[in-house]
Amino acid sequence: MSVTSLPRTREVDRVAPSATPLIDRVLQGALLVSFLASLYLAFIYAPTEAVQGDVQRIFYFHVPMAWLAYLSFFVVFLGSIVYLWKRDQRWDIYARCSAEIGVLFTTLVLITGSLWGRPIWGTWWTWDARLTSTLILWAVYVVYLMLRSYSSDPARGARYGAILGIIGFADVPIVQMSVVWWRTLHPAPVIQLEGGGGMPPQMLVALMVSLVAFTLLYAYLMRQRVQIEQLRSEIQQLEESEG
Amino acid sequence: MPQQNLVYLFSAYTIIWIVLFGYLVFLQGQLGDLKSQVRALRKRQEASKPPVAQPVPTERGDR
Repeated sequence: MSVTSLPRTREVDRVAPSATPLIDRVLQGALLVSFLASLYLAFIYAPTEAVQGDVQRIFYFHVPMAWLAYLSFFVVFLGSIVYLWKRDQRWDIYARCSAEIGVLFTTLVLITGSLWGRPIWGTWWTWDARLTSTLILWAVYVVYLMLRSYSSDPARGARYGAILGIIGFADVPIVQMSVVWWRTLHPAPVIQLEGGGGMPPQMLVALMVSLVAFTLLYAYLMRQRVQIEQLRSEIQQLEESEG
Repeated sequence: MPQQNLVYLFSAYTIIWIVLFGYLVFLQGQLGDLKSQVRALRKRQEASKPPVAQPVPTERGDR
């Protein structure tokens, strides 16, 4: 496990387990409210889809999780570029933490997509362009995390990881555009800037609230994950000062 | 839509909640462990510090 130095934050300076920073408490409250609202909207407010029935309600969490995966890998991409440019460890930490969250959500997207596909397409999996490119995206960032974990030289691991994080992001637009570029079983994007998406307003509201809830969840998970890295850095510094 | 398809909906949401809560619990556990490690290290360092020398009054008398 590589440990890198990070500037100490106020939370790390007063390591009191009972003292949750105000921003975390606000985020926890906002998460609770937004997830309760999104569940209500997804299961009660939004109408049942005429063709697919209730199983279509997977959509209200499946799509936001896919959005979150894109966002996570964008942060990896951005963090990797800034790290290679400035050699500032903080950006490497952001990239690494975001990659972990991105892999978690891509895994959930693949699982929930499969559970949705079984009753609708009649198969758990098909080598369709969207599904295949998403699986490749997942594999790229699993390799990224393995590279970071198993690298004996943290600086080299960070450098190679950053290169992989930048190259791997090239798959994100391919995943997004795959349903447009190729004939796929997977439906086309539901939110379109022009011509609307043909989605009833209640469904759109449920989707938007869920998007907000998942974006807040990403912010919360990132804070927790980055704090873990800061504490590891703190421990390393304390151990070094002990000799 | 046949009711049996509800099992897919139920499974999807169950998996999502289990994975998300599992990850949150994992993160909280790690945070707790690391915080107690930092506290223990700080205490050890405080204990091993030599006592601070008291200022000795000079002949002129320090006020």
